[in-house]
Amino acid sequence: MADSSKKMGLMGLTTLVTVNMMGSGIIMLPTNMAQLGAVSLLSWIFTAIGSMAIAYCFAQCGVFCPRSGGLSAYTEEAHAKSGFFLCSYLYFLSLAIANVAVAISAVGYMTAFVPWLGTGAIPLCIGTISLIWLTTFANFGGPGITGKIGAFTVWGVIIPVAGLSIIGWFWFKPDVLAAAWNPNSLAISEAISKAIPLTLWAFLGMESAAQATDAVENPKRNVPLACLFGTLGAAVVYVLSTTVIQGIIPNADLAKSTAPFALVYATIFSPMVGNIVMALAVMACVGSLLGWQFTLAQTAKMTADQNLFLKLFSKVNSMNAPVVGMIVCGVLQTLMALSTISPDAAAQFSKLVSLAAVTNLIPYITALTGLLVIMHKAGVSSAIRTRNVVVLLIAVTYSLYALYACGKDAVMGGTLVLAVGYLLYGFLAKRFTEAAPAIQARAGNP
Amino acid sequence: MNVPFAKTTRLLLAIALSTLPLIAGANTLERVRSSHTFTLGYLPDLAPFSKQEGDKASGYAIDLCLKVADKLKSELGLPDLQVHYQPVQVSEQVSAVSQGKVDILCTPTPPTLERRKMISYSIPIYTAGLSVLVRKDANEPLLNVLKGEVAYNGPTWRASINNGLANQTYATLEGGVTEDWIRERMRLLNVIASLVTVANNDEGVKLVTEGKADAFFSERMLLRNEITKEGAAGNLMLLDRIFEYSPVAMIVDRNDEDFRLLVDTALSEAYYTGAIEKAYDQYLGGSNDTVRKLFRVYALP
Repeated sequence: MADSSKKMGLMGLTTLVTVNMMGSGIIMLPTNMAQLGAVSLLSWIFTAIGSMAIAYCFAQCGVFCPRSGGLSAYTEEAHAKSGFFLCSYLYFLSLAIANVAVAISAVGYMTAFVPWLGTGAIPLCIGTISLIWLTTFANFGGPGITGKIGAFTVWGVIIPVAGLSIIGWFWFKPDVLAAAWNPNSLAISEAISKAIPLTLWAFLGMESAAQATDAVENPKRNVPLACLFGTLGAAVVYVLSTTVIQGIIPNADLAKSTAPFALVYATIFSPMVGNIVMALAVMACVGSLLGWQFTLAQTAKMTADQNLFLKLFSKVNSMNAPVVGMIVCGVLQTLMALSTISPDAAAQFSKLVSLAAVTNLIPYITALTGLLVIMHKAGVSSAIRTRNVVVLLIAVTYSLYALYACGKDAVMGGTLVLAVGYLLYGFLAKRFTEAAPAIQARAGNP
Repeated sequence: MNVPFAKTTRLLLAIALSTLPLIAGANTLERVRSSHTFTLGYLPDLAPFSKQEGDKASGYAIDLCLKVADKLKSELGLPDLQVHYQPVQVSEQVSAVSQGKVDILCTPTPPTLERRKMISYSIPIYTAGLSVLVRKDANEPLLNVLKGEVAYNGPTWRASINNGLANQTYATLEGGVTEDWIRERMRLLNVIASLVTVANNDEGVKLVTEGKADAFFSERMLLRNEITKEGAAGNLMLLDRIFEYSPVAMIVDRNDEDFRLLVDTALSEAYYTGAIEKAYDQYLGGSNDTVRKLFRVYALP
């Protein structure tokens, strides 16, 4: 066990959660929302409440079940060992795929500074693979270093996005927002139903606090708090920044901007400031990838510790970093990135990214339902129990809706992957049934 | 002071009146009968509808014009009628007919109220469709949008690969009806895009080939023809979707119902006898159910 100085503190973990969640998604969000109009802001009411419900339940899981294993451990409480394995397996796949996708997006944004990266599939692939390895190596220093780098790169989000949520109000014009309200003249219900998918999955990543349990100081206190604060922080920043930006930039310009945060800073200050903001956003994006590579390796390590993944994933170096596992993850991601060189495979890869959202959401439901057993074991009072069950039902409903909204192709792919998981677990299950031969021996000898 | 003015006015009036019978009397049938020639106007580079071939021309519209010529031969009793092919510039397509330089403009154009003030039209001979040409390696969101589907129909989350920076460029013919149409719909097409205009189809196709534009909107058959020119090695493809339909027809003189009736009779017969369907097979890649239904709509009983 590494000493606590090599572990992550509450600030580091909260930052990790917030940055992980926003990742590269925040960069284009104002443009996507502006295309529907400011009416899309109403969708935050729905998605922020649902997401906070999930975060609250995960925090409750962390309070009453401070063991290692994150979502998989919560799942095991209700769904036994196979639940643990399937949860880890689905979540691991989700992250491995999503991280390649985040790297591709980050390289896409870098083309503004290094045009060569945008000249074809091969430069893009080289850039992506370089980023994958850069963020893998940066994690070799262990959780303490990862937390410190994260605490630096988070300024890439804080300055442009969170900063805008505060200083933007000085340039905010209510009439600009009013004019942007509903440019397509959609019925309010239709506008909201079209806007929900823009923000529905924006909170995926809140679980990364729980996934880091092993690498955190005082996890019983810090994991639940980081989950709540991280999600709340992201919600506040999301809502404020996407609101204020629509009151500064006229809708028509915002709806066709390829870098909305850079545009708003260029409008307020100068194009130079806009470029700096774009560079900061890229930095934050790379920082989030670093956090996700860390979470990926931690998930694999915790599962290997339970004897459910290959043992090599649990070997840690002196800095408490599972280096061998990280290298294996890096190789896996490199192969995926290489496959996107062919245009057909690139199209397939975007389907894989949708599938990854599904395999992220199924663990949510298995882990959330684990709370019922966790509370039972912890013997919580009936008042807390009732409150938590109400929130749990909201959280599960939201997760189910998010799963449904992924679309039938993604859900079908995810289901097939899940079914394959059962096959894999079939090979592993005997490790947990040592008692069986003895019973059989007795049965054969009456 | 007033006298010279009045004189000038009278003179002008006289000239005007003397030319009036000339215009009104520009009876196409009379002109054909007296000159023994039927002058077909056509746009020289609008394959597969009309294409210059030395002194002559070929194409779908030319074949139909020759049906009209056959009808003239039989109706006017002129078995030795000469057919003269006269290439016409796009800018002159209306004036060439209204000033009697040509007897008919074979290359079909969409009738508009503004044009109808100067010339008249035959029954439609073809249904133009606004379609779009892209490179074969066009990215999926663009293809989805152009096919009328949602740009991206998976979940939007942190891992969604962002094509935001891949700003799309649409191209279309300058000043055409399509320019307004695209500007109006670009927002709803839900992909970040800008619009450039080009002078002709070749230029638009070139932009897409060279990657300077991502999609070129134009008439489906003309685009198809451009792709054929590129050959199998080309990197372009035409999407099946038709955004807008517009029946197109031949231009004839405005004050000449007799000639117009003859043209419409010849064309209606061509519809009924299957000559048009054959021409479709030959020049326009065959017909389909919708097109054949329209044949019955356009042909006059």
